[in-house]
Amino acid sequence: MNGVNQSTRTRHGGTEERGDWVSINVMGRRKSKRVVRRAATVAGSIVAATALLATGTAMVAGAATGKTSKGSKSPIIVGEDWDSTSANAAFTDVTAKTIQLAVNQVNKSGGVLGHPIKLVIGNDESDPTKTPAVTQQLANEGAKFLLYNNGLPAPAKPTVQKLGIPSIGVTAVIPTFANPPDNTFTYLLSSPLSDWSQVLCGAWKKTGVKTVGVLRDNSTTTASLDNVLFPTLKKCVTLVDVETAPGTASDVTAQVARLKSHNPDAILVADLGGSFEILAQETVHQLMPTETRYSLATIVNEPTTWKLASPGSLTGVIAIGSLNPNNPQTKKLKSVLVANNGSSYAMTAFDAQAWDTIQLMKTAMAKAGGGNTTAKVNKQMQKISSYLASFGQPGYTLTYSAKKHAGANGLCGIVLQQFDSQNKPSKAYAKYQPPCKTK
Amino acid sequence: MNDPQLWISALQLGCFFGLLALSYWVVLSGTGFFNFAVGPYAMVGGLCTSWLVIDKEFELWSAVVIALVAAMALAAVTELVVVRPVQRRSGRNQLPALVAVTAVLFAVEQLAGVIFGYTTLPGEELFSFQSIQIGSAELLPDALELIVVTVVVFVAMAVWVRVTRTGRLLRAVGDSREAAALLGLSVNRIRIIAFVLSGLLAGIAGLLFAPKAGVNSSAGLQWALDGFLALVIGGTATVWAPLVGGLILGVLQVFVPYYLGGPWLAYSLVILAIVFFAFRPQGLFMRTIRV
Repeated sequence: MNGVNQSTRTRHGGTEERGDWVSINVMGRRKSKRVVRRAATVAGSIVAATALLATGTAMVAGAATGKTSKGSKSPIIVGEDWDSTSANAAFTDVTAKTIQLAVNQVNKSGGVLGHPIKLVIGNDESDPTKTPAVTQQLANEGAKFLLYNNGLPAPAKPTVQKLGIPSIGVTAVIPTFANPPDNTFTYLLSSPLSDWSQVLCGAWKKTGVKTVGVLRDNSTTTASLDNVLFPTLKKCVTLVDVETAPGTASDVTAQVARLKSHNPDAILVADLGGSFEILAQETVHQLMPTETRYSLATIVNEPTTWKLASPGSLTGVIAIGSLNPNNPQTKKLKSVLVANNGSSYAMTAFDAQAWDTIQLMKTAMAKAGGGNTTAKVNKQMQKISSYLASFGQPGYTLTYSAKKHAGANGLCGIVLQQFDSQNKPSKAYAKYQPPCKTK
Repeated sequence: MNDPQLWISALQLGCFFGLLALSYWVVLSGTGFFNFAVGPYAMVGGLCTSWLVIDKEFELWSAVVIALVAAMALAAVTELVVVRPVQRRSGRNQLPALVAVTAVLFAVEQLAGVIFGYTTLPGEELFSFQSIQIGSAELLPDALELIVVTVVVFVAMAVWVRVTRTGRLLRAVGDSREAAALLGLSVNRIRIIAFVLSGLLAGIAGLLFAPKAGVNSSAGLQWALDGFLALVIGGTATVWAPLVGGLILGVLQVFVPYYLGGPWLAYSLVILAIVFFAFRPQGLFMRTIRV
């Protein structure tokens, strides 16, 4: 490429330069500066294209189809911020599908006081900078209730507060969304992280785990988890090492080798789930085959992710889950899901939380006399008490009030699940389950 | 550095980066152009295969052929629909075509998400056999396949470039498109061969690397950057330079986190890139001409 198509020009002091990628030593000159310029140009191009793309994908995806009842009453618009394109899609797709199913069921049974529910969809790609804009866009489309089906709904709070639209973080676990400030209209279903650390500490105490090594991805969502979890965990065990790797990493051998050098009693993998979790668990399995492994990730709720693991590599992994097959509400929902998705459907806690979200929303709207007066619906959300959840231990309930925007009642929303040799979380962890009063 | 498992990981990563860098090298040698779409070609090679096998229940080898043809077709389309027209209209200026190809990178990722879905799919292992124990380390089938194929591909490329007429023409056209045209060489044919070959190499790389950590539609950008950095390190003087660059990058990817911790990897790669751009822009291997 060092030929006539290359520009030739005179620069400082009349020095002739003809740059090229490959610097060719011709007549004693090495011409390389142009390579640097070209690299800078390339970097600039990538940044520009990234910015263009980000702008494009930040746009709201548009209205989703939702079956409506045959009634002539106007629909109640419900906005769903569904991150369907980032790494979180591994769990948001499951949630979105069941949200749609629950909405269809509500509409089939007459909607909310005769008004069908219509879903409109946005996608913030779990990018905190896009969440407020997507929230505003959903509101502009007429949403009277908002569902956050993404990695981190908290950045939406100020906008939600300003708009005054009741909102649920469908699967969110970081309590920020439901805690002050700006939490007048924001609610959670999942057990808060503080409960997770209590359960982990209980399990570790019971099984004699005193030292733990942590491997986590470097995402902002996981970092947020750490900030809440680690202070509590440090009270019950010694965290001998915390290793990080990019969520897009292709290899974590080095990180696991470092953890191994500390000889911890157990390894805790914390991440967004998906391929990183599998890579991490497989590498730990390979380098430390007898190690007790725990998972903070959503892997237990991601059937599609289990297929990524090589045979038997997840065997024994203990994960924080929320499904107990003995819960009657869980059984009831499972029959609905199987009827709609086939007998081989693997129900997850995300299905249950999506389903319960729509039931809670419907209840609040019905008690408010309709869904279009957001202040009334919000008031009714805060009056929901002892709702029997489709997840958690038998008898587990959700309760909300003006001051309690996280629905969890005690630790019973958590079930420690263990993976079997088929890489499926088929059983409850036998050695420890959180203490729970059944109703 | 005495843990063989770390070296196996470094070798596997290095081979993957080397193949990606070779994909860059072919287009650069044949057209004088940085084709940043090699990452998406690799993604298509891996993701399309998995999608066909898992979702569409294709037989493995049929899926492999279709995926590689798709990667090659994508590369040909990049040249015919994007690079060539843009360069023609811009007076052979590189910048507009670079911007256009970068846009192609993102467009292919989005399109792949729509077609194949946004979730990660497991990579398909071409051959099933027991992993090999090397001391305390374990060499998994996918790692061995990648390493062996990488060696075969580089040897084949070295022979092709040196022995065949098309291989020699590739570099002649890349060195001077105008001079090659004046000599009556089929410049456009050589360019399209370079792009198609680049698509094939990247497709093979993605296909063989996918079993390690799965593959998803957004993998292309990271892979494009990995291959580019490997090329920056190795240089373009010989067909082996991309492999050397890839192996060095693989060693860094494993041993920097091992000795310094995970966050240092990103810092060290930035420093490395700056050092090479500033002090060794031609890479480790420099082409020399005796006069």
